[in-house]
Amino acid sequence: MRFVFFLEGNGLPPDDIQPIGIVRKDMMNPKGGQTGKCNGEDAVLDLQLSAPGHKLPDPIAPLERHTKRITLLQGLSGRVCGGGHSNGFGALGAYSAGSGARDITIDAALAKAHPAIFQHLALGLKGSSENIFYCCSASGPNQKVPHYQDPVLAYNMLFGKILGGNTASAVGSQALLLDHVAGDIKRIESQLPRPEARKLQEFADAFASIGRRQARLQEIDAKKIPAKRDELYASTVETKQLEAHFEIAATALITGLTNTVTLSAGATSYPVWKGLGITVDNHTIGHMYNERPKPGQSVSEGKAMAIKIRQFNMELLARLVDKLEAVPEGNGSMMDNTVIVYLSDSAENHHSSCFDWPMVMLGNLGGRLKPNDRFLNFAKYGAKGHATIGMLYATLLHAAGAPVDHFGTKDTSLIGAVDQTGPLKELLA
Amino acid sequence: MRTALFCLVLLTCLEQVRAADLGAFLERYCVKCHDNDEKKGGYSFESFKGFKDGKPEAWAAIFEQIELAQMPPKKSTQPKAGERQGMLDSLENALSTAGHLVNHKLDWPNYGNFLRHELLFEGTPHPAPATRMRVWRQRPAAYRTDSRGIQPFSLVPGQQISDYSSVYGVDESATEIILRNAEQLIESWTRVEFRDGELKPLAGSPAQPALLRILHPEREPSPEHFAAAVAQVFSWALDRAPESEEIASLRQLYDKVASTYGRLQAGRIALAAPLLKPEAVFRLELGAGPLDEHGRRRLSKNEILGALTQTLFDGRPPQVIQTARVKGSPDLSTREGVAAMVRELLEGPRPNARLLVFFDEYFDYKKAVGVFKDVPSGIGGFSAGTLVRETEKLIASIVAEDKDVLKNLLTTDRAFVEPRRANVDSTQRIYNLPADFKPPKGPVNLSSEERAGILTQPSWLVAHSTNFDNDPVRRGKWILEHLLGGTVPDVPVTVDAVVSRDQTKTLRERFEHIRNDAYCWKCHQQMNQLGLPFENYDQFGRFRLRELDGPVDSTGVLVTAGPVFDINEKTLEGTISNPLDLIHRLANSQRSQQVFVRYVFRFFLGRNETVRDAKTLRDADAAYTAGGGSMKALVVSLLSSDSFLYRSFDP
Repeated sequence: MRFVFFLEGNGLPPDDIQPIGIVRKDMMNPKGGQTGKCNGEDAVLDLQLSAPGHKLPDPIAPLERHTKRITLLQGLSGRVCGGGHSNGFGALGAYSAGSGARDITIDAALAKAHPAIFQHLALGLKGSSENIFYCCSASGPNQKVPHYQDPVLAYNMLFGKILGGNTASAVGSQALLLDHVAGDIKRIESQLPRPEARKLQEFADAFASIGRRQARLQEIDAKKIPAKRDELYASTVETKQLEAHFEIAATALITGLTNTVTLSAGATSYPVWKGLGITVDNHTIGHMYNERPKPGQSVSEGKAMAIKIRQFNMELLARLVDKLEAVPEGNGSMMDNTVIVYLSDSAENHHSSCFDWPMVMLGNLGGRLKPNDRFLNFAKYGAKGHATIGMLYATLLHAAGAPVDHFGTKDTSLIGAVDQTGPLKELLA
Repeated sequence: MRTALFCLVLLTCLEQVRAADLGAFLERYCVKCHDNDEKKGGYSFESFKGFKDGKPEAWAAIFEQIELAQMPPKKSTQPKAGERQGMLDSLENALSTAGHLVNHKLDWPNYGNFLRHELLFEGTPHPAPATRMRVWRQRPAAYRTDSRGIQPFSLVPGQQISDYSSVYGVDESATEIILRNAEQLIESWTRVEFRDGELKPLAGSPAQPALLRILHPEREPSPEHFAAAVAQVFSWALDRAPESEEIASLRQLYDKVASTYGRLQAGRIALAAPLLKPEAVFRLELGAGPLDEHGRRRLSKNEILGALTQTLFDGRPPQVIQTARVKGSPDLSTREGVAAMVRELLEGPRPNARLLVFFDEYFDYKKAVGVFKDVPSGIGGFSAGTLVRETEKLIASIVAEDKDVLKNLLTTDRAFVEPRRANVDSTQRIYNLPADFKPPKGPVNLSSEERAGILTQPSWLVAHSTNFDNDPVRRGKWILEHLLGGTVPDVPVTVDAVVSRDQTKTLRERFEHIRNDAYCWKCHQQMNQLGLPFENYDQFGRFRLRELDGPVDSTGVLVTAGPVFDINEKTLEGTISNPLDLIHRLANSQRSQQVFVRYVFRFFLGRNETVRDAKTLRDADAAYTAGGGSMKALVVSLLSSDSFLYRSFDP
């Protein structure tokens, strides 16, 4: 099983994924907010996406060729995250954004359930010069997972030993080094009281785990790794960097180096998409897009730029699906055993309220999730049939064979109205 | 014999504590309110006899309430300290058995004030302060990013003090980066080619001659060459020489690798190993001294020097420390010797950088950069970065004077004002300076009727604003916590704070609805009343007497005996006429000084204070007062205290 999360900053407005030909009932957003509306459906709406008269809207049109693999999710809420510009670690953790990396996030939880040589690969575009940054993935409380921004660094880190020509020597000698270090750690650990010893135990466990993973590097077929093209990997243009990230992600999945990838583009940050001919930063676009343009700017101009960015990202996502579909696996393809979730860390808006959290899901994990080709709109906040992102994430863990009753923090405002335990019957096969 | 007897008594007490009966505790202190009739907060313990009668999640919430002394309520009969601890131990034991990890929030950043002030500054102090044996992950700034490679660590934002030893571990992601850094560094130091039977450094590579001697693919390195190469890496990475056992252990590793993968690879692996030792990643404070009668161990000389380096500096130790490593002086076996060492380390024309970092974190003014998501319109040349630099300079100048530091920081009318590049006009507007004002190199005196210290610096005011308005809640909360030692409960997840954006009303008017909601007002009354006097400034930090079409209402009330915060400090109580009245009242308060000392303790010790640290805090408070408000005297006292120098196995 493989899991891919793609987070884009600045919000994913419900209209951006609402299929042409399907009307959703909206209501006034209880928090006000700039869109002024949110999901108002009284019951679950579950329709065939590819039915005649239905069509993907422009912002996600590049995914059209994969319609049969898509489940469009509308009407989820994530009020526990708090909303605002970004929900940070809360977007994938289903907990308060204000508390930092307070617990494990869903991508890391799935990675733990299905570890590969690299347990969890995270790549991110921030529009800064940092090699790595921390934005939205955590493997536990205060344990942030780094998002590699520099494609060259990520490429070398993942594939360097395999392409180095003498994998056996590199891996074998490193195993002896890791054993030696583990011995060093154990000597100190034995002198410490329990909570402190736990820290060193974790450090030792990390080396042990890396050792086990590295030992499997020899299984990887170096021929499946594409050459590092300078024009892509060494480019400082954001679109090129993101393209490189997607190439690395596809290669890591296809070679079996990892089963879980998180990609982020502008999550918790506001890059300028120069490669698309855009010269204003994403924050400004967010304001323009949400009916608050500055003098001299227009809403339509903002919307055009936002759609251009989203379409570029959706094309990369579509190409990733193409690549996974091209790899035979069992009676089908690698994509058949994959699920991809596309969302924004800022939920439904540049200034999110989290009453709505639109997502695009591709794939059904080899039938563990119900078949795709669906438009699934949950009931409005507080109504029977409503669902939260925590419930969705719990469902993914059920599908992954690591069931939990609930993921993240329960929304106490929904207690009594919505049973937040167990997987979503609308999604789990 | 004495130690054995002490341990026996301690063990007996612990057994009694562990045997605490949950049912009896609930009956005695909780059922009065949490019975089947009243069921306060949705909890009834009337039929509870033990752990099995409740859900683990509920018990975990109860644990937190009791540990933070939120329950029983302050006006009810209180359990004795031992009884409370007994209940907590029993509960923790039961929760752990049920597979639930217990959160000790009293150890967390932002929860230090939950330990009541009088337990630290009144009564007989514990005779033997100590810090629990610990490993403390290096802070990001101390990880030498320039040469060690990619920074593997980050800090949790939003903490009053950012680097607590209890918060951070090193997980797999960080370990992967550390491992890669080590391999890359050694690879860059050993970039060689084999030419004419000899190993030569590649042209332009920073290859180290001492290291190359152990890399020859055909020649076994001599013990001396091997030891010298290892010593070079130890010195660089760990600031110490290797022990003979460590060299022997690395030689074994070398031999193992060489036998299968060749000498070049073996040399590189042996040299990478020291970079991965726990002490290269963590600050180890175990206490290598002998056990004393209180069950503590003192840090050894090398541990003290290491701890002082990492407490007061980022990166490599200064020469004073390196000299002290090889010389016998000062004598670090005495408190006076350590104090002399700390004094020497703090000497210099400029304040120690870590002292300034403390004030950055304490006043939390640097987050001004980032409050406004767009460049504010209508105030040309506005730069939050410039405001932050100006406050940095003010703090540095007052800390350099080292006299009445806290009081001066809170009350000075001095300010540093930089010229603005884009529009000089905004300088005058932000600091309310005359139109013909030309920024001088040194400080300027602002109107003492308009400004008093850091809390009236534009950077602090912006940092405690929102994108759209002043934020009286954040301002009041800062004062409540940092100068009064108050506590504010976590924001319930159900709270959805919305303040109207109606620009025809003052912010005070827009906050009125909170007063009418008893649930909100319970926590907000003591914060908002401290923050609203700062309505004398707008969100950019400009002083103002008028707002909309009327005079600004900058009054407030200081209530020290309220529902969420109860210190009952009569000397501070009363109506606040304006922000300067409030600031001067706090600057002259002994309690504010003591609370400040608690924060300094947390920063330099990397943890919350416990009852056991009472003597350390009182000594530090006294040293600060005796030194005429000297920050150096305060830090010297803390870093030569038993809390800094001794380690215990138990808390």
